Amino acid sequence: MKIIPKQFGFVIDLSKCIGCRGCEMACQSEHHLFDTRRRKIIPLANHQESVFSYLSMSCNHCANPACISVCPNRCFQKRRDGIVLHNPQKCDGCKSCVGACPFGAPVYNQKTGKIDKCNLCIDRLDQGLEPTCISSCISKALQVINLSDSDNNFSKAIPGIKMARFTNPSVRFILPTDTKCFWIKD
Amino acid sequence: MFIKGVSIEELLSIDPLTNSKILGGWSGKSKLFKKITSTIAADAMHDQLLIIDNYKQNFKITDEIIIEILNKKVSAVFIIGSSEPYLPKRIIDYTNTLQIPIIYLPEVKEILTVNKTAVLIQHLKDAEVFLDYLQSANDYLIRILNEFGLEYLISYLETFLTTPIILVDPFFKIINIKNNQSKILNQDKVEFIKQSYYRKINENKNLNYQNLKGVEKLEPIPKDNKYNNSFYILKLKSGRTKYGYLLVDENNIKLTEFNLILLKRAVSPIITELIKTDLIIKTEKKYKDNFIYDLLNNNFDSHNTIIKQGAIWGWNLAIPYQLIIIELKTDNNLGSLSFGSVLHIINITMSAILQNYICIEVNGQIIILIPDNDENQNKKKYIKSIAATIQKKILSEIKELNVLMGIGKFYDSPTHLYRSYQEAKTAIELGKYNNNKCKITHFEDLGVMRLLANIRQENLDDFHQEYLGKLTEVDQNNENDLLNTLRSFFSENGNLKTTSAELFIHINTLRYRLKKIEKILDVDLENIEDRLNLFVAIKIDSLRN
Repeated sequence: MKIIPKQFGFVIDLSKCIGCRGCEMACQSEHHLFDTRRRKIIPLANHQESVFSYLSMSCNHCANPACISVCPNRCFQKRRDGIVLHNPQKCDGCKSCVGACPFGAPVYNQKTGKIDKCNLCIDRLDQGLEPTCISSCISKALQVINLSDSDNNFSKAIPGIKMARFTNPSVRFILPTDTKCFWIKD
Repeated sequence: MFIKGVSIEELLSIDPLTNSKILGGWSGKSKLFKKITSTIAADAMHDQLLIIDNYKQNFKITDEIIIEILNKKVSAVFIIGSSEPYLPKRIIDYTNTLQIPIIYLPEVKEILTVNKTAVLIQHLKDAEVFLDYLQSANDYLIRILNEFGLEYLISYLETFLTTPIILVDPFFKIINIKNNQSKILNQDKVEFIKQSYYRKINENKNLNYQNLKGVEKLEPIPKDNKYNNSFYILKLKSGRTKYGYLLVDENNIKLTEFNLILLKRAVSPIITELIKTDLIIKTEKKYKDNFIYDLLNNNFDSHNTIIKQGAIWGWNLAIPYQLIIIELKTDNNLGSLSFGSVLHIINITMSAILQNYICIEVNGQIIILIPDNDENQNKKKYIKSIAATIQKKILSEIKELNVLMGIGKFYDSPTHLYRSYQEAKTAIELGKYNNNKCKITHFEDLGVMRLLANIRQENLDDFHQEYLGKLTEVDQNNENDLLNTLRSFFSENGNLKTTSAELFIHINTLRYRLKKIEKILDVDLENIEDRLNLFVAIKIDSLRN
């Protein structure tokens, strides 16, 4: 028997992200979050400590999600399209998943007393729409693709940036290229 | 023989002319012809079927030539040749107006074939059995198949031809024999035919091709074998897909051309039946795959649902299962055949150990679910021994493979199999960083790595920076390899002799490097606490890279 399930994942174009936080705000607004954020913008710096790009990160819907196995209340499940879902109705806010996730994707919501995390806007996906972070990205730096069916050339890691890989995160990167200068002739 | 009158549609209903392409003028299909010719006459060509033989004549079929032919009022135009001719729309319109069919025959190689078919039809029509012939071409075989199934059809052919016939799949696995004892008896013979067949293909000589529809190759295997019989192999192929072979044992009776034609007739119905069976298996497999995926990803709410759905596939999911994941790595790209071979080895090994196990492939990993036996007091030892047996068996058969195995913890209900699955995957991933030579990692054997995997990345980064930051900095600035020295020192359990051998350096060089590390990090490698902290920091470094 052979199973090749779908696996939705993010592709982040590091040469396009300008760190405007549009995705972060759109996500907060879509899911009516106030103090909690599902998506965070992380500035990426090189050895000279100059910021060379920004990383828009939320739940990576890992192939081996650490959150699933540690939750004592069976709150997490992985759909056939690879999306890792959290069921707040079962959640008692024990924060086991918060410690387990190497990316800090599950966050504790003080207001509800439960965990909150990205669900890849499944309601929007089911309606044929893009997740809100994708549609709100003005520079088109964020994409969602099916990682299973494409022999893509996207990078799995960012050179020089340490990142946990053992959960096999469903995130790929388009690495920044050198800045090109174009001169306009008078 | 003189043709008194055969229509175009009648001609195209008989093999080998059934594979034809109508280019135009099909409304004239019932036109009769009395003569078949390949020459364009000067006068009108009423009641004549003109064949343009592109294999021989090899002239360019221009629009003018076609128009000239059509104007001679032929009954139809057949074109034979290696490539399909292109007819512009105005020619097609013209042929439609005149109701003169233009037909391309891709499988016909010579005019004589068309002539023979026309004569056959004339004979059948004269005897008033043409329609009966058409109807009974393979109708009775389809009837047998529909009423009694594939196994019966093969036994019918065996009786008719008085020779044993075995139907096998593309991998030479017997299909038509259901009785286990007979299957075992025949398996040896099938294996021999398979080996001889592949050897012959490799040699690529003495191949006796017979161009029969549905039978691509008919090949007698020489008699110099222990069975002292000749075997025929009929390839069951439709389009590009191979569905299996019919292995015909001559059994001291020479198969005549008539016998072969009888076999040829059975090929199409058998292929249809195999396609049907294949579709049913695929559909069933799809549902099974989805069920297993959901089971391993916590997509079921209740144990009762799991038990009910598992029962559909004959699995008793009321009892607990243990889980092993196998990941195969090789320097070369692992083809589907190699993957299939590994699955085959696992199935044979597992069948010898116990029944009712479940073996599937998910995302390039093989997952084995093993029903738990209550008698096993030491669950971990039991599952590890099974994993070791499987690994040993795979490596004995396919030496170039690197077989990594991960085992999840035991849970007393299949509802928690998803935990075991995630743990086994984590065990495989984190096991890669452990100094585990046998490459079988149980989640419970991960040790400190298991704890580290559950600590936030920022805390790990801080710890790493605190204990190894200075060493990394010195390495970067001076292009040294002190971190690697420390890593090897720990992986060799602090043994100076083996560490220096591992690093290909003199033992005194190693001592110097370790002193340097102690000085840079302000630690004492003899101190157990310092050692522990550095060991953990090294593990974090592995995780981060």
